[in-house]
Amino acid sequence: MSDPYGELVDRSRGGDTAAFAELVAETQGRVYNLAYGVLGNREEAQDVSQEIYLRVWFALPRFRGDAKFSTWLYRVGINTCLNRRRQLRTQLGVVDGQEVLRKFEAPGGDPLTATIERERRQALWEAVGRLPEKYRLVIILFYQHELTYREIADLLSLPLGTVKAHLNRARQALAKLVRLPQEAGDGPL
Amino acid sequence: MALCDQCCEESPQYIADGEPALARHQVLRAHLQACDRCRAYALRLRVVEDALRTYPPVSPDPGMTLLVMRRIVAQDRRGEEEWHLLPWDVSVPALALILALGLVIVSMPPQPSPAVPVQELERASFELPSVIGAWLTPVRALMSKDIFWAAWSGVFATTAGLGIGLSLANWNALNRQGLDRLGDRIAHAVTWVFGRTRRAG
Repeated sequence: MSDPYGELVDRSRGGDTAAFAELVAETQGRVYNLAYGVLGNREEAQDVSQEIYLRVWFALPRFRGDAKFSTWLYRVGINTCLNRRRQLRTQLGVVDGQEVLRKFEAPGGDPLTATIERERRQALWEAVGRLPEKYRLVIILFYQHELTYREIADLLSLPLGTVKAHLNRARQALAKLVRLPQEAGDGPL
Repeated sequence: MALCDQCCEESPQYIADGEPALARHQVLRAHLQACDRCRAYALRLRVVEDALRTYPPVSPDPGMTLLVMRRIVAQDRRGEEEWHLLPWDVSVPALALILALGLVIVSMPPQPSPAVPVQELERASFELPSVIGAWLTPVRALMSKDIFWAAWSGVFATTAGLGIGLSLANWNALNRQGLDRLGDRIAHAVTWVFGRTRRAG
């Protein structure tokens, strides 16, 4: 199995910190986005990303290349992020989603500026952050990281059908939060 | 109504797949034309799909690589010290448990029967240095009595229970990180030893 990071991984495994720094630079965007997607907080994402790379560095001697480095990195990343989220859950508290979702209206006849559009997308992604963990993860991996169903199934050790079902349940849950322009008077959402 | 339920189930995948014009979706497409409620639902799904597919990426701090490498160098420098980094509320109960287990193993009679004479116990199969053997003589004399084992088991269970209870009650992120680091170092050491052995072989 050819791994685009194979050479850097081999050198890093041998203790080459320059190679590992290169590996971090190459992959940090995806790791940070994964952490941000799961934790929904930039500072926490920054901190946990560093934690992920520390774990990867110390665990590299045990990485035998059975899977691609990126798959292994995602696995370490997901486990670290979920652990951190569990710790933070009580500290973060439960945020009332209505304030965010109120802004999330479907595009209609109103003139939409780029800023408003961006805010809507952001509002939806914030809503993703409040989905149950199993749904949130598949959404992040599918849309944000553009992994295939099969890759997600392997990564999360789930059957392919369950991945698809989780994605569809998540889409359904998000669709219920969308307010179309003609429904504006129906309620807060 | 059954068609609405079916539509609700199938629409997310159908829309995510780009609403393909396949024959198997014909019923769904016809229903979406006819049912206002399901059409509105499909519209919401399209909005969700569009928004999800245009994820606004966030960028990490530009100095993140440097921060990571600084932490790695700092961790490497600490090296052996990490063995001592386990917090006291983990290391003390763990040591107590190991000590208690060790004492139980050392003072255990070769045969569990309490009726074994003391003299025979002294000729036990495990050979300890004479100083320790002498020190253990009174313990071994006690071992022939049931009350000794009952008391010893009680002390052992209480110590271990209190230690583990205290440790779990004070469990925090630092403990977890300490254990994780310890685990990583042990795995690293085992891998290193295994590699050396294999190369030597």
